[in-house]
Amino acid sequence: MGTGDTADAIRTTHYETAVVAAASLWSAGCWIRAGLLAAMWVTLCWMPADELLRAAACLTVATAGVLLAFTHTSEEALDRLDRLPGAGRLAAHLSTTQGRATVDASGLAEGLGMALATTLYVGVTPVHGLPAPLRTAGAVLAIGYVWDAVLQAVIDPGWYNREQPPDRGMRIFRPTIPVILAGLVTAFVWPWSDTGHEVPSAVLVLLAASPLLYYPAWAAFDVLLRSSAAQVLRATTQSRESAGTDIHSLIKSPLVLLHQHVLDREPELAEIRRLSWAAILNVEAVRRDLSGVAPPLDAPQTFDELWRTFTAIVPATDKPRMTVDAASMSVVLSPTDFQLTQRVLPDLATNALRSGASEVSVACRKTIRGGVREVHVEVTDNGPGIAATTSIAPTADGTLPGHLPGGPAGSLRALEAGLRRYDGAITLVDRSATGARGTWAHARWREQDRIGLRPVTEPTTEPTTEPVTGPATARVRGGEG
Amino acid sequence: MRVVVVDDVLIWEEAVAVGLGAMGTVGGPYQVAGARSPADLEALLRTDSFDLAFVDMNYGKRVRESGLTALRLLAEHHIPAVVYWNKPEDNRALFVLAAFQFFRPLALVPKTMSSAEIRKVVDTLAAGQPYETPDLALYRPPVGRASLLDRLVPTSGDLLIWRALTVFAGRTEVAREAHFSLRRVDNFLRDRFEAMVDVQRRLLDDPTDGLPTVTQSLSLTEVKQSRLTPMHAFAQTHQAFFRDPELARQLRERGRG
Repeated sequence: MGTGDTADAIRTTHYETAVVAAASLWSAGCWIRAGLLAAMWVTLCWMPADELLRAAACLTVATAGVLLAFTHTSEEALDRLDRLPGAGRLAAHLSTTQGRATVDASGLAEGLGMALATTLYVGVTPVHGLPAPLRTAGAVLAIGYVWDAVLQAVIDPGWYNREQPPDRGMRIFRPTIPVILAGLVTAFVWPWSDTGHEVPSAVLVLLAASPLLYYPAWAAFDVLLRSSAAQVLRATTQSRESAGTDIHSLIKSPLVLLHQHVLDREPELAEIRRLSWAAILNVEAVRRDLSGVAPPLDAPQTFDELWRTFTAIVPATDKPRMTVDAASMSVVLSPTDFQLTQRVLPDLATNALRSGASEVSVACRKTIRGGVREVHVEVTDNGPGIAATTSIAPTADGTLPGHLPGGPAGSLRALEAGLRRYDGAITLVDRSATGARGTWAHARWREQDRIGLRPVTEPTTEPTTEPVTGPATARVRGGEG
Repeated sequence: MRVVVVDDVLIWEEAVAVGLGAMGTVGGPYQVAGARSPADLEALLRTDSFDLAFVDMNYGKRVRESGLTALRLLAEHHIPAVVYWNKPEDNRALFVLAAFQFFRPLALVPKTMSSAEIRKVVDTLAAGQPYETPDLALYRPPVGRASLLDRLVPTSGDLLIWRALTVFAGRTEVAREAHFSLRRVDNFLRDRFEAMVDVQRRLLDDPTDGLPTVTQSLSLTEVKQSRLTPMHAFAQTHQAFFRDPELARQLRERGRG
């Protein structure tokens, strides 16, 4: 990212952060102003009867303003307003002024309403007969309302909008807002009449000067925006570094070895197939991790995650043909077992799919045999049988013959060679012996969980042959789309 | 001969096994075992012993420990080790530097070696002969003068500032995060900058063109910033190294706290 890009990214982040912050601030401000307005309505209880109509009219304008302000915050309210006869233009106006530094109808209504409301308590024509403490409270409520409403304008996200920046006049206007408002408040609260003198002078001075507090509020808001933008950029950079490391660790390894394999010796198709599968699966694993759909890093690695990764990359037409044993999904695999399963699963499953099977069932489980923990991956299909497709037959005990031709069988031989390091084997059983159609492919090896190994106490189970009843447990359709 | 490969990626263990003809065979001259992490290695070493270890320096995001921890465990069991790595892994270079500084592994072995070369490495080391590679001289600490790592992270205090730099790019923020005075941070920037540039030039093939140096006519603030920005970027690239608990432990144990 160049310097210009960085500066652009910072400015964009300022605006986006301001928009997010404004949504909460605007909503909170609406509720605060609604509360202040409700308190002003309450002061009508102490007003003389001949002033009530005027007071209610003034507060009604402000109430309409705050309702429009609420409408700003709610898509649902905007939709409803849009459906009202004759209110379409108002709804469109409120929608298009969001996030822009401009004057809108709600602002005008609130401003006008509150200017009128202020005159009820102080200024040129305050209502008579109102108790002095209540008059003071009314003045504070009205100016408090104005203060909060204008604060929203001072920190409006529109000031930071790069796509539709405020025009020059508005940019000059922004720093003058506190001074102009201080002047307006002074004019409105000035005790032009004797009644106005009932409010203590100190309170009037504080109210008149209160808009100057916008300067520190504005500065604090900008500091928070800049800090957020800086933090976003840092997080982005760190995330990029982390993604680079992941891609390097997970993808580069099989590709380097694949490249080396192709260059260094006569390429074996089975080895190329194995390494390319590893690379493809790792690409998908990294994508899932970066997209945030993979389990958290501190969660144990399960067959579920492997299955989701695998089914995400098989052709869409193959997915409906595959099912997985529901109990398999929760099988926890050590890092070595996970990588061995990651190698075995695609090979056995794609062999079954390529054989023309319309149904391929996959299961993964862990057992204990003779005091030895084992991991099993089983793939059962209803195809013509791997022996038929490759012109080979398994030996009498079901294990693969020593010398197999290339293609799927060659790949299985390479697989078995890898599993032999872990006292493992691959067994192929022609299901026709049990009256069924297809092949049962079974890979097993000694569990490689050094850290999690506990003394063996569970009952022994020995799945050395295909389950007679086939995959009887509940099954989950493969793939996540 | 029993060999253990400490690498989170299984295929690198198998590459060694293939090279030594130990795939799926029992009773041959070589046996190869694997550990996916230092914790895995620790568990393995409770019941097993080895004559040589191939040690990767980084085990992915799931593992917090680095190859430095693996090398310490092997050293505690008196098992000789070689560092097993891919040359262009820029963000591992400091780990390799620290590995040779603290644990003196026998060799620096690239993962791209052919099977014949793997066999040659093991046989050469088994015969008690040194196995020299061109990169080795870059990482092995020099005799009689300060090493690159000594200059980069001489004390635990410097490590705190490097760690702060992995997150922050401002002097004040760095000072606050590391709990040091601004003067201390300025001294760090002055003293460690040249070491960082040396690391980039010598180990990372980065000529650092365009970086302003202190000899250019810049204001004091510009000089500080001209060091701070690249040092922040450097710290971010190598944050896994600077945040490695084993590095802090080694600095502490070697009296640099």
